Amino acid sequence: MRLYFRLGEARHAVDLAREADGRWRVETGDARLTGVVDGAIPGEVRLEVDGRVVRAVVARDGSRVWVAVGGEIAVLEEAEAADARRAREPAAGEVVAPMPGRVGRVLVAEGTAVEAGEVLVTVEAMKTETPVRAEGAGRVARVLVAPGDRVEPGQPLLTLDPGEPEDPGGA
Amino acid sequence: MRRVLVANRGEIAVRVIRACRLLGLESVAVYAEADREAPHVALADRAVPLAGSTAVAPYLTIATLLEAARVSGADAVHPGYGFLAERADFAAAVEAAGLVFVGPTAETMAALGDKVAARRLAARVGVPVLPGVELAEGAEPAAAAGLDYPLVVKASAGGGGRGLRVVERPADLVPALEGARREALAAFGDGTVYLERWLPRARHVEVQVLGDGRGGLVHLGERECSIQRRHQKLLEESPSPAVTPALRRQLTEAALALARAVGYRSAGTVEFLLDEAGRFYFLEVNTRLQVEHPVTEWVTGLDLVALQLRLAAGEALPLAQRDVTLAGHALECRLVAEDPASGFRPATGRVHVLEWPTGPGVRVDAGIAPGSVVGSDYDSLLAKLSTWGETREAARRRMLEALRATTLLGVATVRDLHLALLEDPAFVAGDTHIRFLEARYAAWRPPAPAGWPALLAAAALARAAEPRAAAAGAGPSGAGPSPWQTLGPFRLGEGR
Repeated sequence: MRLYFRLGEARHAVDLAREADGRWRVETGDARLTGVVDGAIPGEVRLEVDGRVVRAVVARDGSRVWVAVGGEIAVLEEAEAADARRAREPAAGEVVAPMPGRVGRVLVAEGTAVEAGEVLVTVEAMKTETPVRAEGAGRVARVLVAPGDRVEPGQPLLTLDPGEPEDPGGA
Repeated sequence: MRRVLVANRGEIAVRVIRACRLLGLESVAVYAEADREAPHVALADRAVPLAGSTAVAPYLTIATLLEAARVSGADAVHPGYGFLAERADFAAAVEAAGLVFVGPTAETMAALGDKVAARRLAARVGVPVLPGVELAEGAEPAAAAGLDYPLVVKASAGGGGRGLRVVERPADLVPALEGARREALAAFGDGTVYLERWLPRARHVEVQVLGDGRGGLVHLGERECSIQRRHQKLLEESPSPAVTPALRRQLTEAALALARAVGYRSAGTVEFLLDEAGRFYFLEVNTRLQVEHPVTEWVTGLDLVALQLRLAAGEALPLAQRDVTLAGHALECRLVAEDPASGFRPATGRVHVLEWPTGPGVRVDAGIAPGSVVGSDYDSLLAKLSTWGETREAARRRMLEALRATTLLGVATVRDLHLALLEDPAFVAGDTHIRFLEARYAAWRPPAPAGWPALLAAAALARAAEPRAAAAGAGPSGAGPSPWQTLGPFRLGEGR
């Protein structure tokens, strides 16, 4: 069986084969390890590394896998899910929440002309107010949230029509 | 005094409940709906749910807390830190209800909580203050004309870094004033601000004092808290590597002069900035227990919360200055749920796995338990690790070991940043200042783990052992979500 994980920017293949005695042979990169998963302790995996047995703790959260071995902690992501998430990067003109929290202030309305760097919305979490700014100049097409709304990271807050703001008083 | 209502949550509520238990006092926890399963609720002798419109509101509503005290039969209230801990009107309301407030008097809190008034008091008792100017609500910033930049704008009613802005150039002054006023008005209901010289290379050094309000008053040495992000402390130690015995005498005398001037009762902290030439300047007084009190407890061997409770019960200060000995060195690392690689953004999630370090000279103060949900409503402090050693180096090595033995899976924390900081040659040399993190760690990213093959192997094994995963993993990666993505948090060994 071959599984793929992302660790940071790198994508890693891990090959697994179950042997007759129930132990797993694991290969990734140049490393070869032996592993035992007997379910004796939930979330625990035992690995033989260079002749010594070490304990690893694993917890999964959606497509993210938290792992701790030998004092190191890493968050891996199943590559398939990571790739899918990347494919869902914000569409052009979409302004998204940078973190989980609540919408604090909404400083623009539909039709407002904005300049690059202008604060559009603030998101509050853990006593901290984070400004969400316009990446480029444009005009607010739709406002999708209101003060007090709970938002998740990547959730669209509003959409911008790109381009130089026009003089609304013209003609 | 028999039953203490703990008007707080998280690790400090746990800390106060434990101290109550040691003294044979009953404890009453309070909790908002979001904290129903929080450790402090389970630990206390009694617990009272609080109603409120948001997760934070109940902990900030005086009437709600007083009602909880009434229904639970509490005769004292410990405010912890944060929330209402420095609100003189809370202390006054507690006392007006016939209850004991575990802290200074409302008059002391009002006098020192107004930072402008505290600054004036410091100057009056001969404590050095930085050049600065007070600006009442709506006052023009022209008064700042004579001051040298950089400056810092602070809210008179502020604290914990809120309502605080650094101004590098005159052009930035007006926006900074407006921002600080708005933040202060929203957070504290008072838009009064003041301007002060800013010393970016200074250290944050503070002196712990303890008094009984009747003449008994001691200092418990100093702490250095220069490692900060957003003007909020992240790593603290006692003693400060920059404080010589002669300087310690001056600092502690200054702190005691201020405390003596108000007849200080309970635990309090006088904060200073210490510049590179060894000159110090008054910053503010915190009329409460500090987050970083464990480092002082390590070097003095005292239990500050127990002492607070005994003083509140009317005891005289049970120790004189000659009884206070400062031994060894202690460090504290705040384990906050923030991502240092993206500007210390708050992180959320569920604590799936939680393992703490043990051993001599290691202490953990935690407000979370396995299964705890870390949301975005509350402060990001999950726990504090503190270590003691005969020397700073011994305490540092213990902290490195303690951090490595800390396994928290499910919520991102600053653990790896602490590991990097503790091995930073400048930190090891004690060469710190309040912009240390900003100057050296703005672009910090966690290093790639040395044991990456084992980490990958463990993740793959855990997945392969899942019966449903075998089918999904072996098949071609088609479109649509795999069963894996729709499963909840898994436990190995289930369903076998």
